[in-house]
Parts: sequence; structure tokens; C-alpha cells
Amino acid sequence: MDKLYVPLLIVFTSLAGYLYTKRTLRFDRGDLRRAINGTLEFIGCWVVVYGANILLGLALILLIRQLTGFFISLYVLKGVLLVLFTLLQALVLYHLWCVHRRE
Amino acid sequence: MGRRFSFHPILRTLGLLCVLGVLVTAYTPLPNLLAQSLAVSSNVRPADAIVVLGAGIHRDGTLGKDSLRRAVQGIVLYRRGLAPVIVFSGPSYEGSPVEAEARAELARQLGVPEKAILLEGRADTTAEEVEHITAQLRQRGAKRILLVTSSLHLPRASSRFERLGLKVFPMPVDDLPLSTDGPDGRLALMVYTVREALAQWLYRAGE
Repeated sequence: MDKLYVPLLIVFTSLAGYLYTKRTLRFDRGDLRRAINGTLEFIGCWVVVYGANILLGLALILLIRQLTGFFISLYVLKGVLLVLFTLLQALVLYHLWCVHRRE
Repeated sequence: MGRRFSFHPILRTLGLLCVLGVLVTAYTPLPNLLAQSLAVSSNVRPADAIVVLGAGIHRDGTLGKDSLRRAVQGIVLYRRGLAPVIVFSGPSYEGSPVEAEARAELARQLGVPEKAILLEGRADTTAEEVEHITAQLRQRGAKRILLVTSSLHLPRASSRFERLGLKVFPMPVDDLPLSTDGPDGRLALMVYTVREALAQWLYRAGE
């Protein structure tokens, strides 16, 4: 039961949010589909940006170690900070692309 | 006129794969199987030295939980009489005390005699740890070591020691059990497994 508690909580609050929004905004199924697609695109954008940050970060650390002898640990890339900053980056980039698509 | 290329379907597919990946990782034994395929299991035997690899210390001198766990395991092996000396490794991290010295202090307080303790506090990477420790142990004529580190770190660490001529008996110590079955534990295990797989690949590429 412990393992299912969080997913059940998410299903419950999602359903409540869906019903409330449906009643107040009167959206149709197409709106929901577009919202889900947009969310998936944003996550995809985050994956690309995160991957790019990790690859570039690794390459730069190895280059700095090689060229200067200065030691930077590869573990600096493992923290939550990079994940959070990358989420912000992805959010801005994704909205830029969306604005561009609308024009 | 041709249609303009759009990134959106690619991003959507990546996003979907990411969500599915998280669900599969959290709710199936996939991370356990991957971790177990990379890990080295325990083979504890009498040796010439116990080597406890570094794992991190906080700036205030508190040993990180991996570091503490490994140090305690090394001390237990010593107290069982499995080797006459114990090598503590671990440098200073950005102004922190030297990890090896903090572990040695713990060992002294737990009854390990001063003459049985060796320190390696300069190495920043696993490769450097292996080089420095092997040099110290060679002077003492050591040929077999009991190596204490995490089960996913053991493959690259022990292969380095063996390349320098030492016989390694592995003693894995894990903060996160490879059999963990909670969703959070499995996600953390997957991240750790992928990181170690990447590190192993980088080590092989650098050789």
C-alpha cells in the first residue's frame, strides 16, 4: 500500500483538478489532448537540455583537467541544482518555441 | 512549398519515453537487475591489508554516510583479524578536514592501534587513490588486499589494483541495497547505476 500511496494521491488530485477545470472553463477533449502533448514536449525539451548540459559539463571538466591540471570532480554534475536549473532553462526554451510556433 | 521541419513530435516522443522510463524504473525490478549485473559480490578472506576507499566528508568534519559506513566496515574487518593493517583513503574537499584522518581518528577511538593505520589523503580520483595506496603497500610487501567500497564502485577500483599487481578480495558496502524495492530507492539506484556505468566506460576509454 505504501508504494501505491503517492500514485493514488496524484490520480486523485489530477481527477479533482480535471473536474473543477472542466466545470469552470468548459474545455473539450481536444484541449486536454493539447495540454498533455504540451507537457510531453516540455519534458522532452528538458531531456534534451539536461543531456546537453551533462555532455558539455563532462567534456569541459575533462578538458580543464587535461589542459590545466586543475581538479574539478565529475560529481559536481550529480546534484539536484543542475536538475533544477535545467528545468528553468527548458521552461524558457519551450515557451520560446511555442511563441515562435504561434507566429 | 515543403512543410517546415518541427521539433515538436520529437520532443513529444522523448517526453513520453522519459515518463515511461521513470514508471518502469520506479515500479519494476529493472534497476535492481542492471545494478546486480554491474556489481561485484563479497569475497572476504585473510589479506595483507584492508583498503577503505574515500567517499566524502563535510566541511565541518562530519564523515559522509558512505564514508562512515565504509570506515566502520573496514574497522570490523580489522577487528576480525583479517589483515594486520588498514589503509584509510580520502582527501580534503574544498576546505574540509582530510577524510582519511577523520576516519583514522574514528578507528583509534574504536580500538585500532596507531601502528596498524595507514593514510592516503592526497588522491582526488579513484585512479590516483589506487596508485598512491599501491605504492605504500608495495613498500610493506603486501600482495593481497581486502577492498572496501560500494559494490558498483568495486569493478573499476579492483581492476585498477589488479593491474598494478595486487590480488583483490572485494568487500562491498552499500548505502542503498541493490535489492531495494521502493519506487524512490529504485529511482536512486538507477541514477547511481547509470553514473557508475558511465564512469567505468570513461575509465576504460582513458586507459
